[in-house]
Amino acid sequence: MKLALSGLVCGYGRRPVGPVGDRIWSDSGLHALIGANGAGKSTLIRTLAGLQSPLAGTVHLGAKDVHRMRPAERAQFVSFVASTPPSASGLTAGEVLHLMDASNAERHRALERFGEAGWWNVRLSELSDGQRQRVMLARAFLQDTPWLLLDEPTAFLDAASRTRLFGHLNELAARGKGVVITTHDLHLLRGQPALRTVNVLGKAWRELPTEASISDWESAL
Amino acid sequence: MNRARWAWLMGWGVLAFLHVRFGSVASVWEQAWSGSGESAAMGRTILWELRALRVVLASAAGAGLAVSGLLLQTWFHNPLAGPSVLGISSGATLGVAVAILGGSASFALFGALIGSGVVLAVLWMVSRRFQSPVTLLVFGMMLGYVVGALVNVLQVEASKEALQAFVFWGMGSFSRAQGMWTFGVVLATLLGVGWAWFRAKSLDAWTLGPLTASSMGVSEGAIRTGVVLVTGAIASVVTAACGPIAFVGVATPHLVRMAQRGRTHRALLPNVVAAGATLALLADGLVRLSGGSWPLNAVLSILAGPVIVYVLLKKTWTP
Repeated sequence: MKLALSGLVCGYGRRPVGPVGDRIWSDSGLHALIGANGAGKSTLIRTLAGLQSPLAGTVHLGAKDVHRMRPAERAQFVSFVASTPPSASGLTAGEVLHLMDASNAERHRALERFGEAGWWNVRLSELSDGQRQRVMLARAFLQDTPWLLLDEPTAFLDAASRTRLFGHLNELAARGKGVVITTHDLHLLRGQPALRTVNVLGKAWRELPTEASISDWESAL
Repeated sequence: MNRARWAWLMGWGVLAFLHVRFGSVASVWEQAWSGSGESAAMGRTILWELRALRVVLASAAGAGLAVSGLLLQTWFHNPLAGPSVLGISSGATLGVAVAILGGSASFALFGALIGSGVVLAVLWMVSRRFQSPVTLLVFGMMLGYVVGALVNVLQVEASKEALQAFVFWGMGSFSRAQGMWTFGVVLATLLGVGWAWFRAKSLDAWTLGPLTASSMGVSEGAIRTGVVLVTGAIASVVTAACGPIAFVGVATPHLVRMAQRGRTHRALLPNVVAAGATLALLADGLVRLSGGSWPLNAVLSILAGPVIVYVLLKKTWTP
């Protein structure tokens, strides 16, 4: 399913944030949004997820406008993981995964994949930020949508979990899913087999060759 | 059924029985069951139309306010949210103040309904324009202050007798139970519980934050409209029937969370209903033991205040 941005201007109120976007991502695969702090990565990815209205332009998933879908319909096409995991929820990891349409076996498998089986009966409020974020990744994975939008999913994760997460994302891409990720983890990003585009948000929106060196990417920020 | 639910239901059952069994008129119980003729009829009237009806009103009001508290705490992500924070009971108070202090005390109940209805309508209209629940919380509090100030002005201008009647109303009471108003409170509470049960999964998702909930398919607008209407309707009829009732709404969900581990709304709701009814009956029992002289709101504050302080001190609050 194609994700298409045309004349997209993101922002708040009347204040635009970040560059204008015109893109068509027809591929399944991993699309990275990189940029300095305040470049507008989070605003853009929230707008792509349909969680924030654009100031101008549109985001289409296939033939449908993301911002004209009802939340329940949108949730079948796009899943989203916010940059900060919820800290105040008293739900256990198992209860969070129970909110998703899946079998119990699938829920347990998802938790083992992204987190640890032992967290099933532990409250989110009793987990660390990184552990919570991994529960939220398992939750988004269970939503099983054609597109997964992840806002700095590695920010709270330990080194081993970061590597594992990219492994899972490659797997998802191999199964035909599209993944958009904002990240500062350029070293991890480089060389991921599923990586299709590297997008730098600056004054303008630039696309860099995926095979360029890290220093090329960094100098573009 | 879990242990906490049994405990709440048992507590409620015992209190409800005591309420119906004992009262200021002695031997009513015996007369109603074993007496004959006029005294038996009188006994039954006191038993059902006074004592039992009062139990129903107190239970339904307590349960309704407690469910409102649960919904507002979930929606605002705030442990101190409760039905009195949105200014709805202040609106009811203004309506009653206009009626009583204006000299037509018989319209007090309708004054409460109209006052809270107006505040509710304002809240609902502005709630769609506010981005975050916290903004609405602050708006509701400000509205409450302004309305409270208007009530103060009215009080200064009122006659002595009218002022006394108004202060008396403000203390809250379950003794004014009448069939129609009790029915209204029961109906609003049932509607509220039903809505919350139906939306339980969305409310669970809401504890993960608005962005995540929305990405999971939860309609923010549907939740907001539901919470505002449900809590508003319950606060309106309860305040009209019993006066402004303090603390049940804020404290009950905390009491329930202390006694159980489950935090999903399907696990919390039945127990919040039972605990709210129990707390209201307990407070009303103390009021009746004092011969009706202790103000209900004072008793409730003494019972529930420490609960809230305890929650704040433990700092382990989770919705």
